[in-house]
Amino acid sequence: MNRRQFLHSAAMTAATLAATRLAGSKEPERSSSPSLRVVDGVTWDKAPCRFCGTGCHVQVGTKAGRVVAIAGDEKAEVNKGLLCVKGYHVGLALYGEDRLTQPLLRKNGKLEPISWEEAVEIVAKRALKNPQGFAVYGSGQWTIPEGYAATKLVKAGLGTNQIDPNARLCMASAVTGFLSVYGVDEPAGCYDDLDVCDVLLLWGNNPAEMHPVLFSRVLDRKVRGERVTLIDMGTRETRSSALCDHSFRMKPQGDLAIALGVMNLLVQRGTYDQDFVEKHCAFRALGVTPTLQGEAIGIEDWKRQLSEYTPERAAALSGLTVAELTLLADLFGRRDLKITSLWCMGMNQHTRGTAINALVHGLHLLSGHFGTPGNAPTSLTGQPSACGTERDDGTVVNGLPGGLLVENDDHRAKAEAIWNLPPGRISKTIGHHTVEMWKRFSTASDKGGDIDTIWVQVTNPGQSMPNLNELVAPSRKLSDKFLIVSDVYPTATTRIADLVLPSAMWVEKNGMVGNSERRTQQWFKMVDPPGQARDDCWQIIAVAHKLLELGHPGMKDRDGKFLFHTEKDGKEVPVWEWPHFYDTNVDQRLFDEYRKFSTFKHKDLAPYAEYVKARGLRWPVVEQPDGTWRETRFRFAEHDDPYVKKGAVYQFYHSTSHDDRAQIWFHPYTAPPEVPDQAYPFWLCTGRVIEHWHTGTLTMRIPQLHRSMPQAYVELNRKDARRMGVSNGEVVRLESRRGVLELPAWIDGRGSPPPGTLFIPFFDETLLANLLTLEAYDPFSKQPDYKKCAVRVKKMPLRPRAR
Amino acid sequence: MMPPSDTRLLLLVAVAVLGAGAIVTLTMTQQEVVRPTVPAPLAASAGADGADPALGYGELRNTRRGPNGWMYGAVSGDLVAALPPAIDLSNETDADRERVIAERAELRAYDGAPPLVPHAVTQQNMDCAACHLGGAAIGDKIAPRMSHAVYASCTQCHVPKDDPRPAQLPVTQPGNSFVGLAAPMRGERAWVGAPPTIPHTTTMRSECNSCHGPAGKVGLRTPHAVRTSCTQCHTPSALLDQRPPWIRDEGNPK
Amino acid sequence: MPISGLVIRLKSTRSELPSRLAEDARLTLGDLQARCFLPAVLETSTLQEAEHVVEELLAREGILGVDVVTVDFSDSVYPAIEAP
Repeated sequence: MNRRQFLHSAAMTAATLAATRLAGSKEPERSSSPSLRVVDGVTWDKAPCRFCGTGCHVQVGTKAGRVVAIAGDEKAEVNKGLLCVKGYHVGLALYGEDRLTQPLLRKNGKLEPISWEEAVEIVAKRALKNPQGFAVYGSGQWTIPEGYAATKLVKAGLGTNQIDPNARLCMASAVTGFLSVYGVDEPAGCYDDLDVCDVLLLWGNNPAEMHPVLFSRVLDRKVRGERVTLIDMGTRETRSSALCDHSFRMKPQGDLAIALGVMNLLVQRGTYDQDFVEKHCAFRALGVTPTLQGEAIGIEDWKRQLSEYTPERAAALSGLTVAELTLLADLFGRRDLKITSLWCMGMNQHTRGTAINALVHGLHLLSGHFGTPGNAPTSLTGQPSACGTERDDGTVVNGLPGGLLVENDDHRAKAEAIWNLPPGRISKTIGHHTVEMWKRFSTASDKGGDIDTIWVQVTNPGQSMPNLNELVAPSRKLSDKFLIVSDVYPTATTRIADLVLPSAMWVEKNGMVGNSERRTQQWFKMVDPPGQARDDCWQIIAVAHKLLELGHPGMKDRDGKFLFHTEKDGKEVPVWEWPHFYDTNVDQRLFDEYRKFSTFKHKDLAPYAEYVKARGLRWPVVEQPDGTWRETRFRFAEHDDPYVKKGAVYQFYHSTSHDDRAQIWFHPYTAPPEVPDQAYPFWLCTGRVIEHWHTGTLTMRIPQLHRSMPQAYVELNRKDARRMGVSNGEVVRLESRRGVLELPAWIDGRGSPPPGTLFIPFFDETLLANLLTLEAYDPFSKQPDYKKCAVRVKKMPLRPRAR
Repeated sequence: MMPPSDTRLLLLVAVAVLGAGAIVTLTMTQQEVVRPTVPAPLAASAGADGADPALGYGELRNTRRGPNGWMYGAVSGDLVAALPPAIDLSNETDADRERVIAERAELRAYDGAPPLVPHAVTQQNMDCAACHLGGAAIGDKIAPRMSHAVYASCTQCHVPKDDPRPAQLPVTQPGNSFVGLAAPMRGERAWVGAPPTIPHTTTMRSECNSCHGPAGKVGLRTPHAVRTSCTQCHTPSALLDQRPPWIRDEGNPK
Repeated sequence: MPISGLVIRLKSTRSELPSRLAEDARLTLGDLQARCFLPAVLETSTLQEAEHVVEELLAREGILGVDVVTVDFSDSVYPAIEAP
């Protein structure tokens, strides 16, 4: 080798070393995973799917540091080896060509790359400058340790409660519904109910597209010859309708009247379960000043208030016929049938979401269709970890981990004890919920806009917030407002952000999530993230440590230890330094601390190591005398829930009336705040399609899914189209009181709305449905209603189409 | 419950008619369109002992038996030509196989992914089974028999290849650098002439006929489709089928 | 002949590289790390030329940045400083 060759080789070695260092490459540590398989050079291991709240388990095949294949996990009880089209293509979500790989700071209108050191300092300094105005907007797609770390940063560290998740827009009404009925969140039943129910009711949801594996779990029973009756109740015909035995069209908001009308019929006929009600239920109504827990009332009073909802009145309000309501009452009046109700956004994204949730629970309790396998009011969760991360982990403006509440002195004391904080560190002032938070962010600081910084992680509010023109856009014109976004791809939110932090996704990091049936699931990191993308959890810890270095007193506990102090073999590991983040399992360290909160509300979690072995475990997971951990399938029922006292049969041990009873509510029918009128004569509903996950940032980059559904559209009824002279595929202009959107019409396409109704899927970044939607929210849950607002349709003048 | 002898004779004739019809259809060229016909009236005739005839393997595949066997020949049955017979198909080349594997890969993100649907489908589901339950030949196209057990919601996993909307405004396909696991070329043999082991998972691929039967693509078809009990000689892989051995010390109950 | 070690930061995580990079004879490309960090060795006849190449790279579409890791200019036109 001559001198030149030597220099060449030395330069290449140095350059490669530098590139590797920049990449921060680390060996995935999952070699100890008991579910690992190596076949033909491909390494397979388990992980929950990245997408919906069903929580299917997949097997991920990797080779040479890349994902190369996906299979359904045969051993998973949730999906038993089956997936849906998004699940089969989830591995491709990592490989879109425009992954964010560098921290970016906006300078003179353009996003310029900066170093991580600089980025972390910028975030920390914003928090230090004005901790009260610093908000974290998190996500039901956060892993459990990520959400827990963020909650600890804000509540134990900064001493505020200004953290709220996008689950506010998705599950908040389900939560308040559960709290007002059972005193504690989360379904009592589980997916096992689907395997034995005789009747499946869909209350305004479209599971054929949104929870496909759960829906086919029931459908495939029919294929095998079992008798199951499926009833779809919705404001339009969907793919699910085609697969159901009965499909009822209801008016928007009509679900309230259906529940009230059916309950009234049961009472009038005397076919409700008097024994169950007498033993296990109490009655509630909103008092003069409505509160979440309302006031106790007697059964006669309850019946009297209910009696207004005669079949005729209920039919008029709901849009169902008297015969259809009677059919439902016939079913609910039978003790021998097992009835499961399913619902999702139709009932949650609702200005009376708390009410309708409570009423459907009430219907099941009243009729005794509760607690035995197959009898369940089952609220389905949309996101993969809204349950595990938000609802159980307390990443909300009024919550603490484990279902504790900041306004409760005893709860704060418990949290301060676990976190070893000086008493009084946790604030009892509730933070601003999501809609309020963004409203204040979009309001000038001298006009009451007291949120000046929002750190967004794993969500896309620039596309998913309702009424974007009012809640998000104005903030970008206020120079003292700072938007930080941690994400994996350029999105509608990163495009308007001040600081963009590239993040690792899914199997590029360790993780845990909790699905709709209370099943907590775990996975190990399998491949490296690209460029300088780093775990969201690391980002939170790094900012916390920077705050510590800058002197923020809240970042230390009572003994002066860093809030995220992590040890391995008795020595502290500097996990805030990226090269050391995977020296130990930070997920395990955070989860095992979080576990301590889980017993307060009987949401017991097992140690991390148990989840490594299992395809998830449903809480409460209780240790048995022989050392094994037993999950609970049916809560509050003596036959399965270990916390129910002997002989009780059913015990609602968090009862708000403190007598072990669940609450059956009366809520009156209330009309939606905006209804079609002369000026805006159409209902607009928004939602999703099977191909795309939420705002499409992942799935629109998967060629197979994009190819099948590349663009949004507006569903228009055939008669309306004919009347207006709109052809199938013609671009029309939609206007609401808040915004304008032009997009192509699709008649009798995926779904078919009735006359006077429109539907737009919100996955398309170039056709933002939320320019039109209304931000009115439920008074208790603060969850906005994306399903109902008023629009008008205009034909566009003919013009040549751009090619 | 034995049908009366008259009915058995009718049955015999019906089967013979159908069998004859199948053979006649097979000898027709691929381009000919089969027009719907009304099934021929059944006539009695004498048979040896009135028993059901034993059918050869080739006829078994394509014949419906039983008292209502003729029902399956209704309208769609007449439109649909009978599938190719189960005879020796040992004249396929490696080049054929490579071509077929490449064609399959176009509809699949990786080996094992659910294929995209290469034709338009109704958005409201179903009726997929009309052609894909048993497989069908229509004109010169073959609708493959589904390779897995029947599931009710086909569009849960299979989405159309092309935009289903009427006005397809131009949109750019995103770039994605995912490289999917390639399909294996062939299974391994213990020695020349030994039955190859199954080189892919049998999950979702339990109906071997779907790809390897006479209605499969040229290049993948088995040379001995007369044999219908495939796993008698061809073994799957426990690891590929997610049945790894249980290791006692791991303490892993699953 | 200044020989410099560079890390070229690519904007996109696609596996093919911006085409003209491979064509430039002065650049020897290494193995792509983390899908977007490309080590490279640049050989030019003068230091100024090397600086121009780096500037030109920075201006190119698809390249987010260039880090110069090492420069060896013991062969350059700058005269060695003789000890007195």
